[in-house]
Amino acid sequence: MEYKEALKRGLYDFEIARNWYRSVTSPDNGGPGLHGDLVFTWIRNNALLIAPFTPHFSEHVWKNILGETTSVQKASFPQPSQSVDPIKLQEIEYMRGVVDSMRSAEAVLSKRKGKAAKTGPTFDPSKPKSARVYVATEFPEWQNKGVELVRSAWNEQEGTIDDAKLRQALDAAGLSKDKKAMPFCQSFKVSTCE
Amino acid sequence: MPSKSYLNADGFLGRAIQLLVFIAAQLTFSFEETVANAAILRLHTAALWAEVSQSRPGALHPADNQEMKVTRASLRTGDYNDFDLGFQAEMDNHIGLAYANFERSGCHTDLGLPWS
Repeated sequence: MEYKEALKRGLYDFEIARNWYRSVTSPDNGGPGLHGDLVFTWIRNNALLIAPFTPHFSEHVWKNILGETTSVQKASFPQPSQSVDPIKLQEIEYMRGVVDSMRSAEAVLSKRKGKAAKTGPTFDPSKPKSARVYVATEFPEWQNKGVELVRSAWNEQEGTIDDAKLRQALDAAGLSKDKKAMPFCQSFKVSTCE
Repeated sequence: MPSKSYLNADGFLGRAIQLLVFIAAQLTFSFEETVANAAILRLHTAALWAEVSQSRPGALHPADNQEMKVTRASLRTGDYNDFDLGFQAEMDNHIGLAYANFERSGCHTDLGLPWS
């Protein structure tokens, strides 16, 4: 299974990363275009990562596109340019989430039929699309409170969360029956423990 | 031994196809012709994207006929912006994880190769 994972990272996920980068920097979307150095870093790393699976393909890219004179078989495994900043990865994850939720909102609107289509806002796919993005400068009050409660049950040394303590804190704050706060605290708990 | 003709487009593609069919069969354990074909097309597209294909510009990319080697000079240079940094972080992340996967796969110890 590790082979499969390695192939997924080196080919499929690698291409997803490039496609996202290509579309967010595309001049059609108001972006500044691709950065030349990064594009060629990508081509090189991609060829190297999948070389164990596709030696001929990688050799072709290595010599004919990257202009290397020695064989790709003699090259070393690619080195990360620096240690990975998890915040950067989460930013991308978040941006993708925003795009996804816009797309699914659009899909929901276009699928409405019958009564609902007449009463709510109308959807005309032939018109130009636009979206209004609201940016909050702070998290909502109840979320801040939830974070605070989870933090109070956080065990720094072990990196775990004391469930009983969290339940007590939620009860004390009167949030244990709250429809938004409870699921939020749960998912926040899971993501911090990872 | 790889001669020049071995690596040129015809020879390369022929070999790559043979090899990919083999890999697809090995990896999925249930050989599917459509899967193999999709994998070949994917690599072919990737190669075209990266290399020179002036004879039929944009044949595979009507939306963005930007073959990278041809257009390299027109690509952006200078400092990285936030999107660049994010892309770089993703690449680094995948490189690190792929390395870990290859490590755990134990292919080099299985073959008795003097790597690692």
